[in-house]
Amino acid sequence: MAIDQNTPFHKNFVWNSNAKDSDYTATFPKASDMDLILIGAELHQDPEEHDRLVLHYKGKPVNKRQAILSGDPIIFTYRSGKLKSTWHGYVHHIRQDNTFQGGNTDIICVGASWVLKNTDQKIYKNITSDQVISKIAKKHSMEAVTQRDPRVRDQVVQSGQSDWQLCRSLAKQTGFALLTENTTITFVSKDKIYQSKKMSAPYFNYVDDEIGGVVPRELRMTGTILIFEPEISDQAPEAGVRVDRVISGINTKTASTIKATHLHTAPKKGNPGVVIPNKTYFTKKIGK
Amino acid sequence: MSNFSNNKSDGTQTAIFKKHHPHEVIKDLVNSKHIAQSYNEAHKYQHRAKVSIVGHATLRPYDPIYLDGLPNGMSGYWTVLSIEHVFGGRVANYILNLEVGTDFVGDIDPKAKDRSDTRDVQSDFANQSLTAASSKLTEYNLSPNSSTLNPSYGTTIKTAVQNKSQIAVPTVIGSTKFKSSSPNIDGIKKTIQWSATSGGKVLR
Repeated sequence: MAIDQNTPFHKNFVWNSNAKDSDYTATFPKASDMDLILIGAELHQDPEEHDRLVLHYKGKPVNKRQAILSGDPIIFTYRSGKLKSTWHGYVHHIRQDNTFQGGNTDIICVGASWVLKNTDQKIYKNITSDQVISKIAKKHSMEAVTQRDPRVRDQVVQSGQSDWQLCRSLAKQTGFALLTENTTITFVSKDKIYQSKKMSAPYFNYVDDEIGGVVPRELRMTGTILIFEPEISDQAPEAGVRVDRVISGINTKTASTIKATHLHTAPKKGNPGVVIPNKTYFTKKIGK
Repeated sequence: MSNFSNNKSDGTQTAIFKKHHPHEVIKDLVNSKHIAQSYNEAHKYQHRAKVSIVGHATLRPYDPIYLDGLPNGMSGYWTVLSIEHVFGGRVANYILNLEVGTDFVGDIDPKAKDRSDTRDVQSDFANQSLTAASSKLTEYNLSPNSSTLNPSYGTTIKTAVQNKSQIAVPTVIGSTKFKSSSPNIDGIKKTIQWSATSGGKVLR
């Protein structure tokens, strides 16, 4: 079988990776005459948090230009090789620091999920958590990608919290992944995302010394992983799954106490790529 | 094979600590099982690491990535937990600072390096895409700010608007007010310099 020469393995080094051919642009639809030079940017994407974008511009805008205000929409486009992403958000605030290099302008933006900070008072009855997320998304004209939560709740109370706080609370209770990208809220199990994308997971390579010696920076840069700092520990019960779960309560019908202990079961590790022959393989006689 | 994790595939490990979460009311054993499962899901990724990699525009939180060549048997699939895209930095024009996690290290796949990272996985999903829908915060996209500064080459592409002066001259009483913009040089004739060539080479 012919191997695709365009796979990450075959463009492994930094100078022929997707990062070599990359660019990024920011546009302000309400301030089309924005003419400062974009010299850097950082986009933070964390689960259960709004996306944050920091744009670093050289200089300061002149008064004759159209003003950029908090709440203005912004479109940030970035590309690495053939992979392209478009990020939509709003201007949150603008900072103009005076440094020894002169005054620059930093524009701090927040993702399109910002509108979910509106608070509300509402009681959702006889409902699952994914249905609550869908209703909140619909209220803000957003899309929702959800997965069915098996637990039907008698009620979910929103007593003055923001819609985003309620979404986060449900994500913590269900263990589902809560992500917002542009105007789409994703509320699915973490395993679903993992299993769906595992076969197309991007590949990165770390160049290390085989005998554990010092690796110079020039050698490390021949890989696509620049820094790797592991935090390996079995002594973090709340940061892992190796915990027994004890649930207790009262049965409303019989008034008896319920106490159920759900023992920890370690995840079974797959063995991809390793062929384990059947026992009968070794007892077979060749030629028969 | 993991060199660090004590987790075993037969699940014989016992818990080290107990912690109570008295936040929810439960009425039957079925739902207690759901809650226990939910808490397990909420506290995944026992082993974590901080990684800096070259830029990859489509990576999102909870996406799996394959990290190869790591020391001490830590190569394999990891899950991205948080992402910081850094553009215009000193190391490279576009890098990612990630926090990654996994419940067991060493989930290797020898074929991972030969798989394309641009494969369309939409067809793998059952009538539901995990890809975000297109957004409509605005209907137009007009800006001269499409020029980029690539520090790798040290040059800046200037747009027409940038040719104007960005310095406003303050008004001083008793003095003539100057224009705050650069003079218009469109009407000035350009000087053409002739040179002689021979055989395609310029004669000096």
